[in-house]
Amino acid sequence: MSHPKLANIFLKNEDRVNWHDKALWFVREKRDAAVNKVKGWEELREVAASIKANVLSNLDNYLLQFEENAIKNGIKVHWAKNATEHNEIVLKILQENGAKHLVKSKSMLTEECGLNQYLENSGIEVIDTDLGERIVQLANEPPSHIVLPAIHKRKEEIDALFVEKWGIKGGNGNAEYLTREARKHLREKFLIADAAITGVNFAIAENGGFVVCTNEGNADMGTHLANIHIACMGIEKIIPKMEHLGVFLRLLARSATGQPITTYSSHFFKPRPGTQLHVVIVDNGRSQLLGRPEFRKSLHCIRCGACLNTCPVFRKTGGYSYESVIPGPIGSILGPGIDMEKYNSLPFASTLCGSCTDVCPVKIDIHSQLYKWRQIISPKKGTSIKKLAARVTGKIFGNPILFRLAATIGTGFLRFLPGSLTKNLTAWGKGRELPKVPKQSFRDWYIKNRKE
Amino acid sequence: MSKNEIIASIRKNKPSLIELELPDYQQFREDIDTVSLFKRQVNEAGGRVIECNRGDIEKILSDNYQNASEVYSLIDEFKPLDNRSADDEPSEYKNLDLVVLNGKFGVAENGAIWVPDSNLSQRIIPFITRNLVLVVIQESLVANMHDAYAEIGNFSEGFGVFIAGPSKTADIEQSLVIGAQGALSLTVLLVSD
Repeated sequence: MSHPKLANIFLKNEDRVNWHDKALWFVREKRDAAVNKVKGWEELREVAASIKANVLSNLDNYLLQFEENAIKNGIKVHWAKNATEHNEIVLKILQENGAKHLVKSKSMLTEECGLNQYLENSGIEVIDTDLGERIVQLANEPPSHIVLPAIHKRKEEIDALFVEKWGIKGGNGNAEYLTREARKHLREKFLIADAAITGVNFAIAENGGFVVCTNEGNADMGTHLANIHIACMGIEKIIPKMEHLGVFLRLLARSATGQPITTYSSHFFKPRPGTQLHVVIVDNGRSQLLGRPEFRKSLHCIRCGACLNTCPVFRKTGGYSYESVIPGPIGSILGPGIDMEKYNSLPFASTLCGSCTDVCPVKIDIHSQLYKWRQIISPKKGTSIKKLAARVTGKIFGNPILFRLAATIGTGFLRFLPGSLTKNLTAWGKGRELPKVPKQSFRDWYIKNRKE
Repeated sequence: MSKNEIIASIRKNKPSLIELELPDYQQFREDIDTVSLFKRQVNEAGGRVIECNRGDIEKILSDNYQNASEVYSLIDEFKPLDNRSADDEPSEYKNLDLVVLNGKFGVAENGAIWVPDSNLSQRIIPFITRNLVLVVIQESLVANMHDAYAEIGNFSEGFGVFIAGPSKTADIEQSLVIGAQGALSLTVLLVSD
C-alpha cells in the first residue's frame, strides 16, 4: 500500500496521532537542548560529514584494513553480499556450535535481512532484548521507529501484552513496574543464551574494533554471558580511526534522545578468553547506492532517528505508514534505492520543509534527495490524471474567453455545491475550508468601477 | 568469494578519493570546571557522586551497603571477607548485589567513565550487578570525548566500556525508568588524592 493509504489507517485514531506527534516533538526538543550546550556543534557536524565522505571514497581499503586487524585480534570476519547470505552465515555459526537460544540487541540491519524469521524457521529461539524491541516482538509487529521501536504503543496496551504473554499481574500501565517485569523475564533469557547478536554502531579500520551503544545494557548482558557473539554490520559503518569515535559519540546520543552519551558505549576488540567473536560485513545493495552520486550521501547515516522525530509527516502518520524497515525521511530516500516500485510513494511523504536536513548530525541533504527521487519517480509513475489536469488547465488559462467561461461556471458551482462534496474531491480539501466565494470576479469589479 | 564481489563493486562505484582531513579538536575546547560539570552530568544520567578521600572509601562503602548480600570488589581499599572469586563463570555472578571497580578516568561533558578489561576480572560484572560503584580519581577527569580518546591512545586490550549512569529505558511511552537490563544504580566515588 502507498504511504497516504497507510497513513489514513493511522490517522483514524486521533488521540493516538496527537500523542505520537507530541511524544516525538518532546524528543526533538530534548535534542535541541542537548545540542545547544555543545560548543561548535555545527563544526562538529562538518567534521563528521567530512570523515564520512572520506570513508565512502576509500571504503574498500578501510574494510580490508578492518578485516586484517580484526583477524589479528582473534575475530572471525564474514562477508555477505545480500540478506540471504547474511542469514545463512549466522545460522551456520549457530548450528556449528549447537546453539539453540539466541539473544539479540537492536540491529536495524538484521531487521532489513529478516533474520529473526529465518532463524525461527530453523528452530532457533530468538529473543530481542531491547525493551522496545521485545514489546513489538511479543506483539508480532516490526519496530515503528529506529530508536524508539514501540513508540506507537500506549502503556495500557503494553500492560495487556505482558499480562497475556507472561501471565503476570497487570500494573495499570505503570512503566516502572512493567520495566521491572521485563527485566526479570529477560534475565532468564540472558542466563540460558548460547549466542548473542548485536549490531555495530561504528567499526574502526585502524584497529579492527567496533562499538555498540545501548542505554539498557542489553547488548552487554547478552555478549558477556553467551559464548558466541555475532556482530552484524553494514559496509558503511566503518570509521578510519579510533579518535573519530570522539566525534561520532558526541553526535549520536544527543541527536537521538538528547542524552550527551548513551549509558553504555561498549568497545569490542578481542573475544573473551575461551569464546568466539564473529563480525558479518553486509553489502545488501549499499555498494550500488555508492555508485549514485545524487544519493550516495545517504550512506553517511548513523541511525540516530533525529530526522524521524522532527518530521511533521512522520510524527503525524507513524512509522508503519512507510512500510519500509527504516521509516521517516531517511527511510524515504533509502527505500526507493532498494525497491523503487514498492517504495515509490515515500519521497512524496514529505513537506520538503528541510527540518530533517537541519538536524542530521552527519549532514545528509535529506530533503534535497527526497526532491531528486520525485524527479525520477514522477515520470515513471505516469501520473496521467495530474498530467491531463495540467494540460486542460493550460488550455483554459491560455485562452481569455475559455478562462472567463470556466471562472463563471466554477464560482457558480462552488456557491451551490455542498461542502461535503467539494472537500472530498482532493486530498488537500480534507480538513480544510474553502474561502468564501466572492459575489463578483475582479474583472467584473474592475470593468464596473473603471466606467464609474 | 562474496568478499571479492563486494570489494569489486565498491571499487567500481566509489567516488574519487576525498582526503581525510585532520580535525582540529581545539575548536571544541571550552573553559569549564571539569569537576562540577562531571558531577552534574553523572547526576543527570541517573547516578550519584560522593566526593571523598581515599582513606574514606572503606567506611563509605560499609555504611552505604551494609546490607549488600553478594559483594565483589576489585579495589585495594575495600576487600570484604566474603569477596567473590575472580575465576567464576560469568553466569555465576547473577546474584551480585554490589560491584566496586576502579574507573580509568571520567569525562566531564557526559559523566561517562572508562572501564577497560584491565580494570575488570570478567566483562559481565559491571552490568549484571544490581549496584555498581566506580572509583574515579578527580585529577583523571577530562573535558570531552576528544580528550577521552587522546587519553585512551593506542588501545591494546580486548574490551572497554564508557559507563554513564545506571542502565535505563524510556521505551514505554517515553517515561524514563532507571534500571533496565544492566545495573540498577551507579555511585561514583570521586577521590581527590
